[in-house]
Amino acid sequence: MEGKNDSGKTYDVVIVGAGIAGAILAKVLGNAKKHVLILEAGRSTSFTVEGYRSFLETFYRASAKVPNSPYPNDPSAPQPDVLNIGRIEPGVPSASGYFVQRGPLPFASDYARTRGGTTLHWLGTCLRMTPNDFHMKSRYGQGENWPITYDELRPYYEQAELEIGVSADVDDQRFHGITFGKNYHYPMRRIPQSYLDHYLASRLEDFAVNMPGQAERIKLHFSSIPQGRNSIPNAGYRPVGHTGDNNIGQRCEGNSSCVPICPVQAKYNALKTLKKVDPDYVEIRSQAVASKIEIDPDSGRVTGITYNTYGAGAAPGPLTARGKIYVIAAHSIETAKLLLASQACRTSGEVGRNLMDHIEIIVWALAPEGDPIGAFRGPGATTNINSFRDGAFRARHSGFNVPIGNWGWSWSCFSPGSDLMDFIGRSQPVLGRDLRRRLYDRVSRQMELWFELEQNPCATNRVTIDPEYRDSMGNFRPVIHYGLSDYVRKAMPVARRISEQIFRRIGAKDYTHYNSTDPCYVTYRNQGFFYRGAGHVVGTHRMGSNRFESVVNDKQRTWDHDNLYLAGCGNMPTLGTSNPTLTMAALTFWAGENILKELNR
Amino acid sequence: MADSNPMEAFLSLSALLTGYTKTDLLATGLAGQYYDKLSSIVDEDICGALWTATREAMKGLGIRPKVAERRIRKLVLSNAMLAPLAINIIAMWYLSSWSQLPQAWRSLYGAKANDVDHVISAEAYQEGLVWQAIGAHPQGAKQQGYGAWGLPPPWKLSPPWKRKKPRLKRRRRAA
Repeated sequence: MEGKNDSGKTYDVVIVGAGIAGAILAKVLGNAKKHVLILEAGRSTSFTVEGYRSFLETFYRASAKVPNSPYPNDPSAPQPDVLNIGRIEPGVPSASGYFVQRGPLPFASDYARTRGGTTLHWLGTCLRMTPNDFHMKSRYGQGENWPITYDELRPYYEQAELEIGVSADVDDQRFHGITFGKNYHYPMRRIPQSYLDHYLASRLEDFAVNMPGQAERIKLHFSSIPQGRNSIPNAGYRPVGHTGDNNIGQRCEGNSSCVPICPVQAKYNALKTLKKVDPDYVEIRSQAVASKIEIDPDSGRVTGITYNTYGAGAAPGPLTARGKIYVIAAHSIETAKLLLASQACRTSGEVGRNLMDHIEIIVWALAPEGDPIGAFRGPGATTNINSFRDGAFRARHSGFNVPIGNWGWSWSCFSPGSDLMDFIGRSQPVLGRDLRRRLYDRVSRQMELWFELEQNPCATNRVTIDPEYRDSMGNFRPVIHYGLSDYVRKAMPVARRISEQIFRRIGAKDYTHYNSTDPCYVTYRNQGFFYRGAGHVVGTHRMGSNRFESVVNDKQRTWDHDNLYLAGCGNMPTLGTSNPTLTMAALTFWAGENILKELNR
Repeated sequence: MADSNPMEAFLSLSALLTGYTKTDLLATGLAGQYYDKLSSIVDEDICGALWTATREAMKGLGIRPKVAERRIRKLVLSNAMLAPLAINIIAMWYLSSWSQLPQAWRSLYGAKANDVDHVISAEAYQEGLVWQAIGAHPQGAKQQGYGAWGLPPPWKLSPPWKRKKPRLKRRRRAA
């Protein structure tokens, strides 16, 4: 049902979603003096010092400090939580959380529905994709080709890196064919690497590993991670601090809690971009949940976005926002859901399909005795082993990036809490100074490596809707069908073989063990693993070069509706071996340019 | 040591269990919160038994820590009613959280509504001893500063549990 025109006003652009994609578009369009309305389903709590502080307090008090732990779930705009991941029995969906998981395996990532979106709890890694990532099909016979190339996207990568405020050194980032413009430098210097990074790199320099199925050995290559995190600015750049008080967070202070919350906002989040939009041209409406894209059946053009409000001052019924151009930038799963609910973009049948994430195979070990490496200090990861991001093996199995985790065994084993409980839960508990000594001895030697396996696009991995499953406002809950292909599974034992060689070489004791009762337990040729989600959710409304196989074209405009654009990781046809936010931000700058061109025509 | 003040017994027991001194524990500012938490979940007479056992274990002036620990193991940790409380006291100091008491204990000695897993308070989280025990800092608080993560971990050479108490120099007799 279409609602009342909310203000009688027709905006140049109506955007759904105040995350990083919506924020970038609003800034670009507002600066060009276009009138923009953003509809955000979540609340605006994050925008003030007090509101943001309340998230930190909630985080302190949370028993399980998972990515969404600081950000309250609102039943009017519910969000998924990794704590709701459960084993899925055949035919019985796991529906205890927001997602309705039909399996066969659980989708293991979440996102935040609040102003600023999931950038509030992202790690901040800003890797560019490799040139080969853009044409996986022609290069390796896997996945899809993008309708654009690395070189075409390169200038937009630069815009995205400037907006996010990326700290990195160009010289560290030239590998697998990644190139930079002449004299290009990142806004800030690289973030210092951790003691553990130096420890590993110095012991593994020139070490080449045997990769199963590969004739020649592959040399380990370590590189600092480009991060959306304030460090020492290069000439001409001014870091952006806390959105409530710019004096705070001018530089990373080592809070070691980037996920789920940077207490000082030294880490980039989309609030920083939203703070920069021109308020004379950009209006942000919070607690406004889009329920339907209204489409004129004759012209196929979008005529409005119908939404409901909640909380104090909520309108009694649905409202409709009107604009010349519309952009859905609501997160790959929410955008797909809204398109499906609106019966939009139906030509290709691809909406909701090809849901992908990085499959995290974690391995963990203890550094040799007497060699504390100082776990639980600094940003989550500051160095990658990037040797396996690209190579001929991608014709057979997933490529992967391998960050070195700085937070002990927290992801694999819930350290340090689990270590304490182990020591004091014994029939003869460890006590007193002995307890302190043994805690230090164990935890300060803990290390994790995260093998982030690239998922390939599969039509059966998809988001759907079902009238049986709705939230408290009557909107659809995402129904997720998900599994792991052999292309991904094949890479699991490979990752394991590589990690075994690494741990052996440095004399670390391998403690990796995958419990078969874990809901995310999978096997490949009788070898078992568990995986975790990376939050790198892509593919659900992919771009492509023809309207029968993709949802948007290279301009990020939908094939089916002239005045409807999509923004977000859902536009990415393949995932690649990099965290997707930077690439998505680059694509969004490109989309903004295309929208402006159309408005100015 | 044999003080009838239960808070004093709580601190003595806590120091022995955690390996931190009473001064370290008081400096967190949380002794009151933890004591109150225990008292709100466990009946007064059971707490009383815990304090009595503690006083018994600490009997004697200048008792050696090893002896006290042996006595605590016998009087508290070998007692089915008291042992789970001692374990929870360690978990409170180290992890800032209360863990639900074992089912067997709850059915024998009573189950209060607030005997559920929870973090005691936002302040407690920031003072959890586990973080300093591992040579780090609570994630999200007490940050160590830009680039500190690149430095060698603390106590590579001199861990705090090995440090001797500073010996007072004898004053030389005036010539």
